[in-house]
Amino acid sequence: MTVILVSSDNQDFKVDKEVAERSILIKNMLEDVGESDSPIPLPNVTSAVLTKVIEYCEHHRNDPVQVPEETDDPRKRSNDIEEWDMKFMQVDQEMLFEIILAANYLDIKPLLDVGCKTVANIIKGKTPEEIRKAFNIVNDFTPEEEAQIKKENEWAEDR
Amino acid sequence: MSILELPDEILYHLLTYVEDTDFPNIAQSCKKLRNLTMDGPLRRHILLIRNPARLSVSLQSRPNRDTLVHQNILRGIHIRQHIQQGQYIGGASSVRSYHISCRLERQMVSIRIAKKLKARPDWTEMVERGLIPEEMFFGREEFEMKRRWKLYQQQQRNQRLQLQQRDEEVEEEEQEEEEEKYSYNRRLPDLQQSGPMQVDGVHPFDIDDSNTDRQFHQPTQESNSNSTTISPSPLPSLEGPTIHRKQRQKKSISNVLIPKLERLRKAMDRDRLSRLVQRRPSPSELNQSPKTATVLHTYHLIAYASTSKELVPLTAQLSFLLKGERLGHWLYHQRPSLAVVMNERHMLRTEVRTAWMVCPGVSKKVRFYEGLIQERRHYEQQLQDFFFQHQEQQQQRQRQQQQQEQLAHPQQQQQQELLPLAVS
Repeated sequence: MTVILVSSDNQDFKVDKEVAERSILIKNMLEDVGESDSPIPLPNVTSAVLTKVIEYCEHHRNDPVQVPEETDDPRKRSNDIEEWDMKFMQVDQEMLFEIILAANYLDIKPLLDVGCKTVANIIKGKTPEEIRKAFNIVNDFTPEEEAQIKKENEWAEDR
Repeated sequence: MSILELPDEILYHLLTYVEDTDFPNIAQSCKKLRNLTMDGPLRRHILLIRNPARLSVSLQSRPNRDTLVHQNILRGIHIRQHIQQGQYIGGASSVRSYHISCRLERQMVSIRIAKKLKARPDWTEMVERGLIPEEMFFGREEFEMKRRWKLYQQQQRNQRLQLQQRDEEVEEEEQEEEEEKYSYNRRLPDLQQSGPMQVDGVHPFDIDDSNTDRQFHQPTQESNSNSTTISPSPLPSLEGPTIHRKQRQKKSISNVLIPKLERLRKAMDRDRLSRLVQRRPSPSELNQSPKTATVLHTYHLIAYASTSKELVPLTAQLSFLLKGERLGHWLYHQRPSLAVVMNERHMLRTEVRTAWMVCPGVSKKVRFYEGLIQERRHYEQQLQDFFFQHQEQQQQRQRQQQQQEQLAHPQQQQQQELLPLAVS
């Protein structure tokens, strides 16, 4: 059985129900609506992002469905990412954030976790200036504020 | 799309994956991220839930000691055996021994504290000494009672001590009197004898003292006994008799007795010496006994013989002859000739060499300085060589330059040669 997903730019994606149900949002929707051939509109997801999301869901279609309690288990949370996921996440930053947003919207917890882990890995070991450079953040601190923050964090610095 | 455009809930979720060490850096990047990182619930989640959970997971997944030993990470002598027996750190027996040591330490500390508590002064005493103000104690009546009881005890103790002192003094006096009687009766005939005195454990001075004591110093002792009752602290009982004896000696010596005593002492010394001289073993006796035979040499025999007046010149002559012979033998037979010494030992070659021969400890220093001198010479030679080379090079360069100049400007040279001629 297939499900038709419609992206924000009106592009249709025919996906197996099993793959589509990796998204809790679609799963609940399908359960609520029942069996029907009508397409499911996804207005917050572009076709490019949806392609990536479907690719992820296709790859992880046989993974055991995580129970909500288990997903909240913090012990599972560490920065170790599977090799395929790491390769999958090797995209530009805009796409990465789009994927994170789409995963959050579609309620695909593992994808959201992988996205967040990737961002955390980008941040890891970087100085404030490097972080700003990596994410195109504008420094909105005044020099006084910056000095004060530095003074506050002085005790934690390695010497 | 920037990271800041992400909704806050996603950013919070993202920050739960960020390492603790990266938080200050994120907070310094921009205001929005600073506000997010300073969030209390987020910090609480990281510190109280995430980090302990991570730690417990990593602790559970850590390898076993046996596997570590197998991988040669844990090393030690008989380490497998120790781990099996539980003697390794954290093992059953080591834990037990650790607990026992802790208990022992606690016991030792408690004993020490108990001792110190026992040894501390009473609080009433502290109050009396002014270390603790009296107002600190509410139970004033109790304090008064205790103080009175302590005073009473002290008085009792003092009385007992005084009584004991008195008893001791009385006993001593009695003993002295007995001793005096006994010694007087026993020594009197000996003193009258003209022959040599027998010297035993008792010093004659004491004998004399006892006599004089009996005759002259009865009243002073009484006064002394009276004084002791008044004095608060008597001297210790161990030194008592000797001090009494000294006191007696001091008191017993009157001006009349001193010359007599001196004469007596000299006579006794003379007797003792004569007795020792008479009893001394003869040289033949010394020779006979195997223990003392080795002690006696010819020199000793001569020394013994010199006691008689007739033998003195003979021994002197003999010793002179012996010395002369020894010296002569050494001079003519054992002494090496001067030429041999000079040649064989190289005494006169260099000063350093002589120093070396005379004092062997100098050899190291000599080697060191010789090495230094050699190095210096070598360095000077190198300098000279370098200087000569440099000079040669300079000369060569000058020659080359002259040749080049000659080739380049032959006309100028001709002019220069002609100039002095023109001037002249």
